[in-house]
Amino acid sequence: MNKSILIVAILTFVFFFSCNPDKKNTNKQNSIPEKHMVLAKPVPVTELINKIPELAYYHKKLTESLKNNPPVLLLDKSEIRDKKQEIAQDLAIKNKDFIRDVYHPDTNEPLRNEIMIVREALPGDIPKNINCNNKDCYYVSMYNYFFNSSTIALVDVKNNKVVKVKHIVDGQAELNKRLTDLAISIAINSPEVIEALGINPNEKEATMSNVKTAMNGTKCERSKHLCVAPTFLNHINKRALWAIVDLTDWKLVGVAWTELGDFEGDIPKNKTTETELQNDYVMENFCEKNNDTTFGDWKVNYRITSSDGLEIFDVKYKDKTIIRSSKIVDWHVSYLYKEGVGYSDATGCPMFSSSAVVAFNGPYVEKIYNNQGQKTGYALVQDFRSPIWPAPCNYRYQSRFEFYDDGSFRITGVNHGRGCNTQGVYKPVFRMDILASEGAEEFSTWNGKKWQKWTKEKWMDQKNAKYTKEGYWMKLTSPNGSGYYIEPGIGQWAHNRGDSAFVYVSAWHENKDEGDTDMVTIGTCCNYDYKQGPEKFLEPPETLQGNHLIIWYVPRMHNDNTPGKEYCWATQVVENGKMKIKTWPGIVGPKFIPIKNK
Amino acid sequence: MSGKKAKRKRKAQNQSKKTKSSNKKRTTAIWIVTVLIFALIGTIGYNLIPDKKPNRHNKYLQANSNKSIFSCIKSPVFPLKYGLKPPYAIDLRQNNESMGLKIMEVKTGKSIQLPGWRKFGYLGLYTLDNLGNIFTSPLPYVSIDINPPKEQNKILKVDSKTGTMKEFMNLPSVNTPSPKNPFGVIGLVFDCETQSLYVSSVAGSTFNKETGKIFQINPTKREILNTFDNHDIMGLAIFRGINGKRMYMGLARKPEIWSVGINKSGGFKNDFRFEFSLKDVPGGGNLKAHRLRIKNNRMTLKAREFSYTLIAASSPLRTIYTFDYNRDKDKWDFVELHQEGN
Repeated sequence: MNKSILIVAILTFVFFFSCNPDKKNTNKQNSIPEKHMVLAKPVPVTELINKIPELAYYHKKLTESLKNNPPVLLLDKSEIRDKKQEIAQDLAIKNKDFIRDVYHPDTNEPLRNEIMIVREALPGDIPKNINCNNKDCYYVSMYNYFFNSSTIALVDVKNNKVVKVKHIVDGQAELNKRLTDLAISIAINSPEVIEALGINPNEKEATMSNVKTAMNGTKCERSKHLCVAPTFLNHINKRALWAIVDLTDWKLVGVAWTELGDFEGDIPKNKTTETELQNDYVMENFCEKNNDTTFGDWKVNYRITSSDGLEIFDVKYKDKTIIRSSKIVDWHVSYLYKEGVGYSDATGCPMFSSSAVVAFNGPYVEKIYNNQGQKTGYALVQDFRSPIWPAPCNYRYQSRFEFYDDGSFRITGVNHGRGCNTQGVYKPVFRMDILASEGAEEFSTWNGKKWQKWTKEKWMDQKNAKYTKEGYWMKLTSPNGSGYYIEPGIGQWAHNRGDSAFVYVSAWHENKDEGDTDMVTIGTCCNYDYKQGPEKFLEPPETLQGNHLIIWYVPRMHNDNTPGKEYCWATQVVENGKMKIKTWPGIVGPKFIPIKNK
Repeated sequence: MSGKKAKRKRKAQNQSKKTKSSNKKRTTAIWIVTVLIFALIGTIGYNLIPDKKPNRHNKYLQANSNKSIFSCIKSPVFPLKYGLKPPYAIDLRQNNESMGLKIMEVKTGKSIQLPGWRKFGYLGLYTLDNLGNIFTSPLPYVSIDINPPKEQNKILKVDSKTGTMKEFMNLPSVNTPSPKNPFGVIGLVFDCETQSLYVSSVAGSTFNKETGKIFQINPTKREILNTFDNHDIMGLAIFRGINGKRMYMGLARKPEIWSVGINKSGGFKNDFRFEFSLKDVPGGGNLKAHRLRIKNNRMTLKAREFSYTLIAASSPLRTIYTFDYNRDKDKWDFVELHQEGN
């Protein structure tokens, strides 16, 4: 009896449990296998050509093909099995519609085109309304590297005619064998792949014989290049690698490697594309953690913020803190053709941020040379881009911090255009927390005769500035006179037409966050006057005396596309048959020069 | 024979004819009813008998039953008052010169924007209900000045009769919305069968923790009936396949479509499953499925860049993917993809 009651109770429970609608469903999808992503360091193409004989041969053939009419790299005879394939390829490249896009439509320059596949057409390739006998119907595909597009021809080799041509925008055709081999060669000659697979360069052949190689598709959504993903399964070190190879620029984009269990056959459970690789890498390495680096006597901490671009903080020169924090909090863009039209762009992390223009890659370092070719310092640079820059209404900005060996430094913003039209005004908003003194600081401007100390929070327009004979407009000092002269851009530096800046000085408060942490956009896009956002920290004006000071600096740049005078502009040009982006950057921002005590 | 007699005789003959005729009709009716009853029993019996090929006999029913998911949807009434004639287009485009809601007369392109339709800033997707009410939500564009994060987890309702736009519900989120994730409500869909409004929200999700939800809402009572937790979802669509009704959803973190069963009362079953990846189809990439529509066994989805940032605004390119429902396998077969506008 008791047993029966128990069974009934269990059944009742099961019944009710199964019928009760799930008030809360906390289903978990399959867990994502842990991946390790690495973005590849750029390797000069000439270096790769010297290292990879297949690439040298391919490069030679490609260069020759650009001189042909039409400029199309054909399949080698070794890749053609029969006469019909040869006829199909020949008929296709003689068809006007098939070769419609092989020259640049404006400049008539030859573009890089390559026949990918010539084979018998499959039933699915032949549209219903096309009469093309299967055995004599051939499928010919060609890829255009400039437009990232494909053209397909159906060729009736019996009747010697092209029966159908189809153009596919943003469509990548299947690869031919030489490109497949080339992708694998580029991958296994890249340091990142060698390291991830644990290949000993001296025993490369032996190691590679244990590696199962397969070719998978992937996509370079941002560069719009032809990309593939050779995958390598190394059963000895139990590591699987997904490498993204860019066949337009002949380079490794990056690698994602996991354990073998994360693969199904030759295909990883989570395929990776260029965007994912870039986003994950930047997030994990530069957004989720702080970094540091040293340049000679300089020690710099840095991170990519959610919406204030690249921030440098706790920067030391000869072990003394010089910069507590410096960043560009906004880029305001307005257009002169219509009042009120523009954007207030934040730059920052590529995921989970309120940025509209984001980091595609991590920060990098450049050496700075003077006119005599001597190295004088280093620059830490971070790129931020819109997805399809330089297409119209897309933007590219850089945060660039220059550290000179003599202890001076320059804080700049770089604008590569190109925006929506030629009447754009760009206004980066710099927040600079420079340490002239641990305690009270003084800010002064040159009035033509002497330094005039600011006693209250206020702003000033560069058009009213007077400069010392050295070109200094401002200075930030400690009460004992040590600190920095501040030299604005007046066209004396490369890629600078003058900063046309507003400068604002506010008192720093320990208990009030006026930009110490990440700032959302602080001003509207379209004001041309001083109302760019920082003025809100000056109202009502407080005394500057006895306070640590924050300098806000808002330059104005006007873009220009006049041939020969381009500024803050970018365009696409043809170079070796492929697309090259040419930019004319505008660089603004002040230089800080240490005051040498007499 | 007098005229009167002759008349009576004709009347009697007519009556006799009528009686015979009505008997005939009655017999026919009885036959028809009998046949119908047998047909009905047969149909019920046929449907009750387990079929080794369940897909075929469900074909008609399936088409019909999917219709019942969206057949109640009505157009709003208020545009008539403003001189617009149906059909209407609901214009929620985000660009530098267009914000908020506009209603457009499809034939002429004439459009209206009532006062109050811009006050919630830029808007996202929408759905209609059985009364013609429009449900939508704020969605940031380029910057969070106009669409601050704390305002993004709201459902807005535009009244079918008056056209007034008001906050309908402010949904709860696990974490406080912040500039690090400026998004809240994204997907909306109405189910006519259960009269439920479903809304997906990614509010409060972070890089390391996925805390998004789908809410099943009773729009009459403004009551949350069920939630589907810990998944960041963008587009939503409901479809009844051979094995029952499911909600199809585009993930926000991966270019994938997943689905979950829906029970009779509209709650979520415990059978969340992968459907397909947009990366696996020829030419596919990392764009996320933002808007899903299923009609006549065909799923059309619009995919866009989405990374919890405001970058997408500057990428006008959207890719349209098409998949057809394969009844034999209860799966979706890829048909084609193209760039929007091509």
